[in-house]
Amino acid sequence: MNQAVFLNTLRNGQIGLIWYLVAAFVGVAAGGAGLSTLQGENGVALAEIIKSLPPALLSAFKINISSFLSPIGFIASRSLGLFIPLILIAFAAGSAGSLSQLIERGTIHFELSLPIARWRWLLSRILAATLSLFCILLLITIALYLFTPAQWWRYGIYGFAFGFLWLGLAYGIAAFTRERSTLTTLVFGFFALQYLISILTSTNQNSQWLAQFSLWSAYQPETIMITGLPWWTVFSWLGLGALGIAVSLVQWQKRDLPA
Amino acid sequence: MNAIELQNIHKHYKTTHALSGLTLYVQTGELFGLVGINGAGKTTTLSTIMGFIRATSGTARVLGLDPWLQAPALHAKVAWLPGDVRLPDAQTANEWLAYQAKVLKLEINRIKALGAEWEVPLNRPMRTLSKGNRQKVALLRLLASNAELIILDEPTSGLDPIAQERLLLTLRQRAQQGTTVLLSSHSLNEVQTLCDRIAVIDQGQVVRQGGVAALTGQVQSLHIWSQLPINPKVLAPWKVEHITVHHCIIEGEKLLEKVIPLLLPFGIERLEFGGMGLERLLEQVRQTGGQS
Repeated sequence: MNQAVFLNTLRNGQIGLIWYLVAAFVGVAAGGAGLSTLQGENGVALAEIIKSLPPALLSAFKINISSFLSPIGFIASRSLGLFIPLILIAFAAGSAGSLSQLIERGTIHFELSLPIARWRWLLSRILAATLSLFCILLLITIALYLFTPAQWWRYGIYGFAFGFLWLGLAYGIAAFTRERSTLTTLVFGFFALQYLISILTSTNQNSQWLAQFSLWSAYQPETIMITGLPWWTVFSWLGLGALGIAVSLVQWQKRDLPA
Repeated sequence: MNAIELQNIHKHYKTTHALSGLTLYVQTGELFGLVGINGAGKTTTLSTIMGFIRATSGTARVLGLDPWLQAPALHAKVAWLPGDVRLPDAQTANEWLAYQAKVLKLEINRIKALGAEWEVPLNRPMRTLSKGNRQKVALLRLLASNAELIILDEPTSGLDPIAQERLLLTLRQRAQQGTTVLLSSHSLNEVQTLCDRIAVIDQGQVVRQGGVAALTGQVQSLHIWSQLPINPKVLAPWKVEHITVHHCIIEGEKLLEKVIPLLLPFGIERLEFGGMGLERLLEQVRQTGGQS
């Protein structure tokens, strides 16, 4: 790793990181604050509305009726089920997108002309992004501890593994693309595909076997709050993320980047 | 000793051949110019020299190193200025130069002194700087280094005339101190006044290479004043630019050997030779497709 590149990446990304931190904190805090709305008639009315929704939609949004009205189920469904993972995916796409932006704008060649091996330069940037991801998850974990009765430390590990998976995936794609818009389209397109598989598997019994290929189906924050951490899933995600980063480092080292 | 040796370099993309057997030698301590029309292959050549791209085939050695395989070691010895300077918008020039200085192991005080000398507003975000000032910021990075090889692509683009003059003077001084300077420019006047030798690139090949004077000073036109009236029929095989009774201007090659014997009977009173200049040389290359 090159320390100067690492610190420069953190400095350049600090304003974006602050926005992600604020969004994550507010997301969890708002979810926790919403617990009071479940009391009395409001809770009954909400349950009626939820029951009237199509099962596929409930599944896609990870809303489990039986546990939704419990404090843990509520926070898991509302904040951790959709809002926080979207923030993590957006962070991964944004971080890798900054690499595409350097290529797109032509600023990359000042970086390439530095006396640092390309892979070392990219690794320094990815490590800075990983540290930023860690900070986001640390804040989420603190917010969970402060505002909810959820199993806060479990989600800290689980969410980090999920975010790292998307970070690796986004950097893996970024190593092959030139434009930031292409990268963003591919990352969110991949996310949309996972989402579609999730809906398909929940509406069609015959396509249950597809669920194993959906990252969205595998992401079950509500379950981990109750049953404990699925360590196999956590390590799989970390491994896949590392694989994506390895692919990006190899491709970056051999890629033509004409001035 | 050669600072740059490119032998039979080919660079093929999916649908285009950017370089087609380019061979180029630049000697150590030389001021060398690359000229050519748009799309001739100048920037691809510089990208190959800097190790930004890998040649499809051929051999490249820059300061004795393979620019693709040994890029980090090479970049420690080379200072580079791109043709289109793009800098991080959000950073100030000071922040960016401090980062670059740290990685390149440059003295930040030297950069600041140069910044004052070149009148660059270092404390402003770079998005607020003019094109010329951004160019100057990139030049500070280059001039603060003790690189053995300086590579510049359109270095005076956007600079005011005073800064242009200062840059050319600085490059000349650096060359006198033993630094090799490779310059690619569309400003032919700049190349002609600064460089010792030039290479003309066309369709991915070096089609002319040599001293500036030798390449541009070849006799390309003759002004002849005669004592007797000139018979225009004698000059029929030649391109006659202008003719009066006792004066004519003829253009073409090998004029001295072939035209003068024909005009001797008219009593040559006075002769003037004209070179073609770099513009004419490029025009000739474009028209002939690189054939001499």
